[in-house]
Formats: sequence, C-alpha cells, structure tokens
Amino acid sequence: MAKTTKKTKPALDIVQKCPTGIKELDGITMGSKDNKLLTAVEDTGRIISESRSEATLLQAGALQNAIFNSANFSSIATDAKGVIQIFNVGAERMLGYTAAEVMNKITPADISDPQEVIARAEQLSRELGTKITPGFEALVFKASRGIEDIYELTYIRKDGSRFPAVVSVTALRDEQDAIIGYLLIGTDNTARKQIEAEQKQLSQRLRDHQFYTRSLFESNIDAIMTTDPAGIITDVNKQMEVLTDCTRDELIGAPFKNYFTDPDRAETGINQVLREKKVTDYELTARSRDGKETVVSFNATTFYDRDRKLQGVFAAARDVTERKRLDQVLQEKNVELENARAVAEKTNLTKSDFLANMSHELRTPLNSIIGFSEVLQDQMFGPINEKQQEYVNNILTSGRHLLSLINDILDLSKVESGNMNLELTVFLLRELLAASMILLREKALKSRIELRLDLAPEADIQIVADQRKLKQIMFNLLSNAVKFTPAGGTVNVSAKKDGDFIEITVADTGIGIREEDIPKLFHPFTQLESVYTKEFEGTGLGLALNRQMVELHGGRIWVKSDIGAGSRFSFTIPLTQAGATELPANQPEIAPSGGNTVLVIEDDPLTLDTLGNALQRKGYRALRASSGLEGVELAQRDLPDLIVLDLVMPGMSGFDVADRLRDENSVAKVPILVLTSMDLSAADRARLAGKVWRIEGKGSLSTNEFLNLVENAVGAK
Amino acid sequence: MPHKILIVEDNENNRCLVRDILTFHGYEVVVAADGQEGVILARELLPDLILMDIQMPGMDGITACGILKGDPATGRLKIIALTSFAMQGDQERFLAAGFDGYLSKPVNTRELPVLVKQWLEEEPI
Repeated sequence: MAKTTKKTKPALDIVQKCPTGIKELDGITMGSKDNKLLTAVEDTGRIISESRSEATLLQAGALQNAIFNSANFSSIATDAKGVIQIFNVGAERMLGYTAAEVMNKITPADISDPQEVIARAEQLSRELGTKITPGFEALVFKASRGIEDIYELTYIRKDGSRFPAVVSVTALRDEQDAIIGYLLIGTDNTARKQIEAEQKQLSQRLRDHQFYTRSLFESNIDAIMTTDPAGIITDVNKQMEVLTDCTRDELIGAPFKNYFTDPDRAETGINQVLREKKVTDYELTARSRDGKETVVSFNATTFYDRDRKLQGVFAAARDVTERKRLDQVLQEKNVELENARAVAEKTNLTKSDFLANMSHELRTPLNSIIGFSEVLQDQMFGPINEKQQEYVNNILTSGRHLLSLINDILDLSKVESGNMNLELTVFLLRELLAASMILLREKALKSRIELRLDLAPEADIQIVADQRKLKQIMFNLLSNAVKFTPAGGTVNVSAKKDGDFIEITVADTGIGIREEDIPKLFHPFTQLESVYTKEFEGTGLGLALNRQMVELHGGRIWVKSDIGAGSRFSFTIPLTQAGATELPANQPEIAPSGGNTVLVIEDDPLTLDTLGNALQRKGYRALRASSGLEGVELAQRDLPDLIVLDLVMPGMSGFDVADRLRDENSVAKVPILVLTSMDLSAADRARLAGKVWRIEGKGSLSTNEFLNLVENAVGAK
Repeated sequence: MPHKILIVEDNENNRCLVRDILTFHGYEVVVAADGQEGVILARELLPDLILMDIQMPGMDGITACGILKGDPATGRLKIIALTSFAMQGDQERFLAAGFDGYLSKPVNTRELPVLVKQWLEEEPI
C-alpha cells in the first residue's frame, strides 16, 4: 500500500478548476491497486508533473489516497465498456460486495435499480434526441459527452436491499482524449431522503391540522370570531362574514364592537368575558354593512396559548331572530289562552251560580210533587185503586230520582264555585265505615249481597276529615257496588294506611267497567253504555262528586276493574289536615254521663257494635241484644235508662218489642229511641205513637247526633 | 183543644200539602202567604207552633221571625224554619236568627207529624 501511495502521488490536482481537468481526474483513478491502471497513472503523472510542482503532486497523492480509502464515498471505476475495474472501500461497505466479487465481472448498471436505469434511458433519449440503451450507457452517456453529470440513483446491495445514492459520473480519457473508462463517485443518500420524507410528512400534518381547525371553525352554524384582548378581531368564519356582510380580510384587524348597533354593550360584553372568563346568552344586535340587523346571542370564552398566556376571546353568535319571533308569538298565544281561560272561568262561575239557583228553584215544586204523592200513597184521605197506587208510586219514584239529581248538581256546583268547604272533625274511621254500610244493608240483603268490612289494624284509628262528606263518598261507592253486583255477590270495604294517607277501597264482584270507560267515570254526567243507565238507575253524578270531595280533602280517587270480575274503587284521605291541630276531639275518653245504662236491640252485628262502642266510649254501660226477644229479657233484668231499638228484625220485630215493653210495668217508663232505615208509613207511626220516645233514621244520624240524643233522653229522665 | 199551627209559606202547593197533612193529624191549621201576613196572624192567633218559610216575596222568614221574637207578646212562640236552603251553616244561621228549629225541604211527609209532635211537646227554651 505504501508503495502504491507513493506512486499515485503525482496524479491528483484540483479537479474542477483546471481546464485540463480530465487529465487531472485521470490521476485520481490512479489510487488503485490494479497494476494496469497504475501504469496509466504513471503516464498521467508524467503529464501532470510537467505542469505542477513536485510538492503539489505529493500533496495530491495524499488526497487521492484518502479518497480511495474513504469509507463514506463509494468510488467505482470502469473500463470504457463499463466493466468495473476499481471498487473502493466505501463501495464495498455500502454495497456489500468485495472488490474481487465485482471487478472485471459486472457494470454499475447491474447493481442499480433496473427500472430507474430504464427510466433514465428513456428520459435521456427524449432529452438528447438520440436512442440510448437502458444499461450502463444510460448511466454514463452524459459524462461520455463531456457533460458534468450528477444524479440520484438507487443501488442494490448484494443482499438485495436498496439504498438511495447521489452519484457523480466522470469519463476517464487517455492522452489522445479517448475515453478509457468512467468514474462513479457515490454517497449514501438514505439519511437525507429520510429527513426529506419526515419533513414532508410533518408539513402535511401541519396542513391537515390547519385544515381540521379551519373546518371546525367554518362548519359551525354559529358566526364565530376570535379577538385579541383589546377586542380587535383576529379571525372569523364564513357565517361571521355573512352576518356582517364584510369579508374576512375586512373584519380581521377591525374592532369587534363596530359591527353592532350598540358598540358600548358589545365592548361591555368583551370586558365581561375577560373578567369572568366566559359569558353565555349575551344578546347583541349585529348590523351588517348593508344595514340589516340580526339579533344574536353570544356565548364566549377566553382562550390561551401553550404557556397559558391570554390570547383573546373566542365568541360564537347564534342568530336568535327566529327564536325571538317565536317567543313573541308564544307570548301572544299565552295572553290569548289566559284570556280564554278567564272567560271560561267566569262562564263556569256563572254556570255554577246558575245551577245553584236552578237547583233551589227546582226543589220547591218537587217538594209538592213528592209530598202529595206520599199523601196519596198513604191514602190519607181515602182509598185509591191499584192502578192509581201504581201511578202514584211511579210519580214518587221519579220525583225522588229528580231530587237526588238536583242535590248532586247542587253539590257539584258548590264545589265548582268554591262554595264547598270542609267541616273537619276527629272521628273513628271504623265507625264511619260501619255507619255507611248500614245505609246499604237492607238493599244488599234484598239482593243477597254480602257486605264485609276489612279494616287493617293500623287503620283502626281516629282520622281528621269531613264526616258527612266521607259518609257521602262511601254511600256513593257502596250504592254503586251494590247496584252493579249480581245476587249472591260480595261487596268488601277495606282500609289501610299508606304513608301519610288512609286508603279506603270498595271492591265488588259486579259486572266491571270497560277500560276505555274508566277515564270518563269521574266526570259529571258521564253515562257509560246506555244499557247500564237504563238498567241501573243513578244520577251519573255520584263519582264526579266523589272525586271533588276526595280532592277537597287532599286525596285522590281511582278505580281498577275487570269486565265480569268486578271493580275496586279506592280513594285516599290524608291523615293530617292543615289547620286541624286545634280540632276538638269528638270522642272524649272520660264520660260525663255517670254510668247510665243503655240497651241496644239490633240484629245487625256491625250496627250493634258501632252503637255499643260509641256508648261505651261516652262512659255509658252498653247492653247489647241481637234479637227482639233477647232485648226484652235484658230490659226486664237490667232496667236500663234508655233503650235503642231497631224495627226490622227477624223473629220479634221492633214493633213487637215496643208493645211488650210498654205492657211491662217495670220498664214501661224507660224511653225508647227507635233507629230505623225503613220508610215508616203513617200506620207504622200510628202503631208506635205513645210507645216510643223518638224515631230517627239511621242514615241521617251521625254518631255524635246519636250520642246527643242519648244524652238528652237520659238527662230528661 | 187541638194545637194551633200557623204555616207561613208563599208556594201555594206546599202550603196546601203541609196544611192537609197536619189537619189530617188533628191540628188546627192556619196559613199565611208571606212574612207580613204571617206576623199579623201570629199576633192575632198566638199559635202553638209556626212553620215559617225563609225565602218569600215581601217580608222574608228571617225578618218575620225577628219581629215576632223581638215582641214580648209573641217572643215565646215556637218558630220552625222551613226552607230548601240546604246549605252548610244554615242551621246555625237560622238558630242565630231566633228560630227554635229547622226543617229542610222537601219535607218528609211521614216525619212531619212526628217532628211537629216533638216540637209541641218540648218545653220552651
């Protein structure tokens, strides 16, 4: 090697600047181990030595050596036909071949990308207007014409892998200027290519991101803009251009506030955003260049850069013109509705007043109709024949039906006109339910319908309510239940506690109600199938009234029903009523009566129990007799202070009991209070006259009224 | 001597009905068609019981009752209000006006004689 180096020394000179550069470049190729070429070098060296000093040549030999041994440049020299003659260390390293493997065997075209070689051949053919063969000729053609040629090329390594290279090609010439070979100096271009690719990718990403941001900005339905902290517009979207009728360029750089009818308010808005970091629903009226005004609602926030430095305000404006218009329309409609409602309310009030008056006016003639019919039925002024009796009965039945209608209408109109108030008292729920059931007892008996009371222990308590109305509610439900339940059925009354309410249910085994009819039930004058109304006489107001009375108490009423299986009407009454705290309890535990004895003769166990319990709570000694005979025995044995007597009893009736007791000297003076649910004829009354102290209807008497009567009787004794 | 009962009622039918029933039960019945006539007859006859309608043309029942109760000569007469004002608080209102009792219309013709008997037997307050 040392020897070679020495010999190559004179051959190199500065390549580019010398007009006889070809010769000098010949010198570079002399850094070969090849003997043949070394000869050529010696020849060339001579030439150079003629024009350069010895020192320069020495220096050039060192450089030549350095280049030949450079691992970073691939230096390949070929003969005139392209067959590789020199393959340096750099070429070996980059391409993976040893010099021996390629020298005198292949051309550089064989280690280049064939496609690129073909493409290059085609391109040069076009460029120079002459046919160039795809192959080595394509790689060196320009150099062979003395044209400096540097191009990019993909080399293929021994292992088949590829790498991009930048190749500089030079023709090697002899003294007669004939081409004797070519020198291809190449550098590995991989790193640069990679950087280029990365840069390309980066800038693509940047463009993508900008596009994304822009499209977010633009595709918003709101007009969007950003301003700097001073309120100068920095960006806008298309909608903002439309809103202001200005271009983006006109808008950017202009003060935000200029585009609104009230610039001060606009500026206040910006300041508010800066102060509070955001504002919502800030209304402004935008004014476009052509004067068109649009009411917009702004939502705005501040925005920041990476270092959290305030950049300005991001504001989105929504066109609320249409919403404003709808609001306006809505408001007008509301006023209309309110007026209509007021008219309806007034009409309703008028209707209620009218109904109240009408009911009153209707009662007066009805009074006559019913009264005279009763007198006729009683045959007070002489006998009438059977047909006449039938007609009188019809008049009476119709008259009473009409009266109950009128009463219900009156009640309903009272509720509707707000004239119905609650008379709250404290009473035992059990007693009220039992008393309500007594009213329907006879009717149920006639139809062989069983009446049952099922009171949960926690519901066996005192409640606060309007006793009369609750009784009316129960009466309505029970009479419906009895009316619509076929013979042999059951009507069950149950009560339980449900939170702060008492829930009372009347369940029957009747014909049931169709589901589609249920919503109509609680409205006045609802007639379900005409079949029902014909078959089952009723006012059609009972349930409507019930609902009103339940709701007046703060409860609710509902029904569940299955066709053919029966109906369950339930309602709730709150356990406590507002303002009920100061109510006097109706049933003081301590009795004022000094232990007087009262005998109750009553065959219905429920009534017997109710009356007996009421008396005992008042402090009376209550004797219970469940038949007339038993009653007479107890009366004789215990000599009570008062006898409470039912009239309709199996076996010995109340009439018989009264007769028997008056015949007994011992008990003849004991007052008798008759409690009956039957309509007494004049004859009945005549029979009792002089024997009993007082006759009262069961249905019309409250427990309190009963106790008052008892107190009167005992006190009067 | 049968008890003397005065009926003050503007509706002729109802007046007749009550009159006939009570006559049937053996009472001596006198009728008046309005408050004014009722007061005159009450002063003149001093009946044992007066059944007085409330709503009447001319002098109403409450005014008539007030006049009679305010007059020492007639102050102790028993006056029962006879009305279809089936309103809550009415009973209290009528008792406050000086009536001794209250009977709501339509009158139960079967109860009427029993009640009349009770009222007649009750000691004056």
